[in-house]
Amino acid sequence: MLRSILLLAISLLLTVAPASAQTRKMRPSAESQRSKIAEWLDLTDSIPVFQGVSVMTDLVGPGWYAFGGDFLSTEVAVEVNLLNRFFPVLEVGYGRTDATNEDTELHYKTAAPYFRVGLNYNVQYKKKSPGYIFAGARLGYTSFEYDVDGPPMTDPVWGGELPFHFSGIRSHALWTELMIGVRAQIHKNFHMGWSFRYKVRLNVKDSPNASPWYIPGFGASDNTTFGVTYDLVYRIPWN
Amino acid sequence: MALSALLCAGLSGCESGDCMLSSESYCSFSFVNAAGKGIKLLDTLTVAVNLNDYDTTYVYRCDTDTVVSQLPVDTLEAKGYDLLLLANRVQGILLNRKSGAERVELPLSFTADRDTFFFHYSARLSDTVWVEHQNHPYFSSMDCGTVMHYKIVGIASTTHLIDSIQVTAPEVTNTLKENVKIYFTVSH
Repeated sequence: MLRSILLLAISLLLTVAPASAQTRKMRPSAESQRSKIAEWLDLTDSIPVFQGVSVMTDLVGPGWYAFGGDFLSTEVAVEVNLLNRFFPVLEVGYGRTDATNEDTELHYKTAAPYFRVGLNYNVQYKKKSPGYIFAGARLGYTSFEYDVDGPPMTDPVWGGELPFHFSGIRSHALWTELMIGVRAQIHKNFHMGWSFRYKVRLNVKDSPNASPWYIPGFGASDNTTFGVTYDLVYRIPWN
Repeated sequence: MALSALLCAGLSGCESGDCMLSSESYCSFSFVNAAGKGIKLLDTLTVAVNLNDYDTTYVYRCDTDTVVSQLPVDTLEAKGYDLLLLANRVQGILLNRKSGAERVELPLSFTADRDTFFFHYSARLSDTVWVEHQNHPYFSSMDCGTVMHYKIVGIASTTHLIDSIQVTAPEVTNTLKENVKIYFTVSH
């Protein structure tokens, strides 16, 4: 059943996406196309589509904070193994910061949950080993409020000063991540692994008084940034 | 280097340190002739303003009753008093006898919402320019600090040498760009 659904979903994806390119060519019959996709997916093998579920948590976020970092990011994820090749992932986390810059005396505070959905692809799916290298992509979203305050602003020309204190600025952010990573078995159902992520902001709501400096789940608010995770993975026993 | 940058960005989200060169915002005025073509002023240009003194006096008035205070008194406004903010003013020169000016960048006030600039030309001729603006204190980043941004909501001038004045980009930030075009009646 799962096999049929997966095959149908990918068939639909592949037939819709290159539709324009195929308009000038004779479209292959749905039957032969489906069998080609089945072949590419190795669905002709006898392995079940559903291979299990894993839960995991990132240790870098709390570790970095414990060693004096400005940001605390904790997250858990659930990953489904399909054919030992496709791994749909849902990541849920909570990011916060309460930081002050000693030079500028600016203070920034925020705390909010964030979500990411995506897919990992095991590039070594033909190997039957428990460890593998994967590539993946994520779509992340968070809705959050932040406070920013600092010393009064002194007008160097006209004179006078203005307080600088803004609280409860509402914002939201959408971003994407491209990643590569490794997984290795450490003991029975426990695995570990690294992932390196390249993050790109897609949309961030600014305010007239500030653009968010730290975005939960994304990091410091450059348009692009890098991230790294060290995941502790527990593969839930199945069968 | 690349690895440290990767770790730095990933772990802490630390900043690149690429702050804007200027931490102050200037309103940029371009000088053009009636056809909209850029010109150089043959006369020298001096721009003066009446600066706010730091000792602000708060004057509240309700009908014939007037209250003067060195500090704001919120309760008076609740009683129907109007606040007339008075400031002792001193003359300031923002630009002194500049020759061949094609444009001029002038600072707007952090606290007032209407600034007056006196454009003095050497031929004993002058114009006055009024700029109405909204002030937006802006957080650039933790490392780069704060900067004042403005939005020009109105502009006017006398018409001695100036023919007309037009806002071309109302947002005044620390990224320098033309905000206002001043059309002069005489071709220089």
